[in-house]
Amino acid sequence: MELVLLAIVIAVALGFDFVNGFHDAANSIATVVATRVLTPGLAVVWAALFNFVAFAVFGTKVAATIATGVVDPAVLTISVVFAGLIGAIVWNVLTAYLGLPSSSSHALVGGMAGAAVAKAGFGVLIPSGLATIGVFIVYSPLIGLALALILVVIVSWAVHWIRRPRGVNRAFRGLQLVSAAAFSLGHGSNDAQKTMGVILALLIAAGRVSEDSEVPLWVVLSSHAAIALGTLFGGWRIVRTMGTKLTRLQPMGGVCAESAAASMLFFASANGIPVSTTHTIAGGIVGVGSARRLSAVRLGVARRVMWAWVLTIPGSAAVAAVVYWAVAAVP
Amino acid sequence: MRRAVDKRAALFVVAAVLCGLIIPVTPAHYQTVGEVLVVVYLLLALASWLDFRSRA
Repeated sequence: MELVLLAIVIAVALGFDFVNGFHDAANSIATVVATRVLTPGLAVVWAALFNFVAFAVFGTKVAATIATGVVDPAVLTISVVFAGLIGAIVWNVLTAYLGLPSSSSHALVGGMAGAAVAKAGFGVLIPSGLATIGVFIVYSPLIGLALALILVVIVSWAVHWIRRPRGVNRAFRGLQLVSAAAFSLGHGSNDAQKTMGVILALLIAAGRVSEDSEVPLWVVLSSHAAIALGTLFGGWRIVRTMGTKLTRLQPMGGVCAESAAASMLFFASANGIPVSTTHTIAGGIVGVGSARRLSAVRLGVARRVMWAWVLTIPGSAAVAAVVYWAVAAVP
Repeated sequence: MRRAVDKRAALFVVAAVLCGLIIPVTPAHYQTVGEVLVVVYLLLALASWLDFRSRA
């Protein structure tokens, strides 16, 4: 019976990964679509490909953080992880429906924390893990913004003497394929690892692996496959918000925004920090827009995005807590 | 009429202050990230203000 339950919750975790791809990975291609470097169809295939191959590039430190760094592993049971996942999925679907670029990552962290607190109280939370994730909610978009702004200023200085702007534009359209690939690679590594972390937590809870064991290869491959499939189905409402409503982008700006965001994601993945790809690319896009002038950034939309960020962890935690109590009430 | 305040520089100062405020709750091994961000945003604010002044 426990094996069947375990299989069902692993399927739900992969479903979350799929929704993550659907919801978040669209951001990987927002700038490529907004600058018309690729058609939406080709862009999702491009992003999905690099989401998948990320498994061969990065380690699994983020997965370890999710499995053992958010809540005390001793409190994790199949029902806690299930409730956390449902909380995150419900939150993601709700924000996707509303066209808000929320964060699947923080929805997952909020969901796991909410379900664990519902089971055993606030004492099960790991303050240092939550503090790292919490401060990087602020740091990751600000790093993306600063890097993108600095990059766009440097690149503008480097190319301003060229008298053929069309040639420059063409060169940056080509480079945008590279920067979009790098961002998708970073996204695939950081976000797919969150699902790996959940599945690892489940396997630990079920006694199938020990707390310090590596993530099994089948978990790594299935997580990357699920997020890549989610990307293929894409979330176009969010692409519109990120790619055109925050600020209008040219290919050079797209390259700078994606390169800055990719650098931030590589840093986070290498250090085992689960960050939001949405936060990071939004920071990059705002950085590029503010290099022209602040009025190029549509702050009304940016403000809605920030509210979604603020509400994600408490919102998903509350949903997860309710789901946990409902599951626990079933005899 | 030209604005009297450089809103972009003000935004960067707010970002620097925000980073400064969360440094104490940042785990020790990531505090350097916050400190670097404070310096970077203050420099960006200064550069933005100089740009604003030069256009006035």
